Amino acid sequence: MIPNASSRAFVGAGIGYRRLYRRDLLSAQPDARPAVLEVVPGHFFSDPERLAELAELYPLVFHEVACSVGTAEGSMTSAIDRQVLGRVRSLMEHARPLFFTEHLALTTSPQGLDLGHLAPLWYTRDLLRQVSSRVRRWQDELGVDVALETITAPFTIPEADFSETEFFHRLVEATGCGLLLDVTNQVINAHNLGFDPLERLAAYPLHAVWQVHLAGGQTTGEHWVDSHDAPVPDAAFELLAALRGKSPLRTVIVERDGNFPPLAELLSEVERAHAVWNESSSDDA
Amino acid sequence: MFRLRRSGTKPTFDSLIFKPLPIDQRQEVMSDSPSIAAQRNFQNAFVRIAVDRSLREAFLADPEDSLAPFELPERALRALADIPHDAFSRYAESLLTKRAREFRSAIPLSLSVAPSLVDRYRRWLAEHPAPKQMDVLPPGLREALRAAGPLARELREDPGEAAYAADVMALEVISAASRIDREQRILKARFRADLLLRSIRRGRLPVDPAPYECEFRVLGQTVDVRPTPSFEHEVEP
Repeated sequence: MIPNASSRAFVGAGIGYRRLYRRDLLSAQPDARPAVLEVVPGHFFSDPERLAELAELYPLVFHEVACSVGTAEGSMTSAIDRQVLGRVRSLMEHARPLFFTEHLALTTSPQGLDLGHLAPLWYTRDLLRQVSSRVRRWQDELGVDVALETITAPFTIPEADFSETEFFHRLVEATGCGLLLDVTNQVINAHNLGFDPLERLAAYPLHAVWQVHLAGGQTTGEHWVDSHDAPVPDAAFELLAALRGKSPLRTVIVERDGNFPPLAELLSEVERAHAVWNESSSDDA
Repeated sequence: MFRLRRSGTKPTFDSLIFKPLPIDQRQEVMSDSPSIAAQRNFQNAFVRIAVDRSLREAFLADPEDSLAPFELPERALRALADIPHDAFSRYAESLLTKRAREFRSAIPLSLSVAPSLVDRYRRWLAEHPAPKQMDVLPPGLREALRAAGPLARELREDPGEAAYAADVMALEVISAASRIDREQRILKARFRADLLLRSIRRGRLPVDPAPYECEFRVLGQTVDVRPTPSFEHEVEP
């Protein structure tokens, strides 16, 4: 039986769904399937039936990239919320996810300009109120748990009331939302911004980490890039292992957005993630 | 392959785990927080600097003067001005690169006729930042559709480009978009771009094809073409 939104247990490790793996995923024998797929709802708005086929075989996590949860409230953000959430709700008639995730980031300005990518937030108190309010609205309207993801930060915006990690603490406290921790981002941020990744990891609300993202990046040169086009580095697996006994993980997702290997190769990273987490959990028990 | 760099003298992971301050102490820390209006203005300025090259250059030269129209309080102005300029510039460039990569993936056939399209798009984008659009198209195709008209005009006016390049690009873009969102789109063209695209798909670049003034009506998977006696080149979104 496929786990659904009421499941809070560890479902297993899986991959971010990409269309080129579709045929292999739909034809894979049960023992050769990843335990879970992460899908971007926006990729299925025009053809929800394609999502329903996946949902028959796999537990799903919905991972949005277009909601700009950090945009200061205004008519634009209301319109985005209304449209995206309306479409995501419609998709749920075809596939009910384990939970819904988005990035704690800015992608759209209040005036409606689109960055096309994630930007860090200026973590102020009033913004915390607004983001909390929006997350609660999503929780109510979607009827599933909501988790927000850490991003690769090109820089930190000064003159803030909170650090990113403290903002996450407040947000979790105010909304009961979860944290999607991209541990590869932590490794890359640590290199680019000059901090200790384990110290930074420890500063997040680890008791609320429901999901981990693993990916590879470009790590040559002075500035590392979170390009999702290389194998997952050992350091990211080390951070995953460090969460042992600290975090109620429900899933681990391996992401790949370029230099796509055969599915079997990607699944070997999934198996490693699964083994790391199970080993961690059993060590801790 | 990179690994965590950590010496044996550092504190243990368990000892580092964050313990939040009690709530009353937090409120003291936050007593002079900027208002949400300041946040809104900050975000408008931040995004505009990131996507608008001319404003960014002005900002890097003189933050205070360039940001005057955004009516930022002093703290928001400091927050923006104190972002490391090299990191901000690198970030802004990465936005352009990501958009260009997405754009490139939306026009694979046209690129074999007009490889200059990616550079043309980058230049155009730097002066025409993308508005947020709520549709079902992937980002690269959405941008290709937005840029199709201006880029088609550029191609047509450039004698160094194939005469049919504009038509091929426009038809490739509107066909891909209509296959996804099932909206009808119309293209008035000077060549049988559908036949030219078919030839390019087979690896044969057309050489001096005969003009054929026509109108394409694209809807879903269907592409209708009918001859037109005279027209202005135009892409109707």
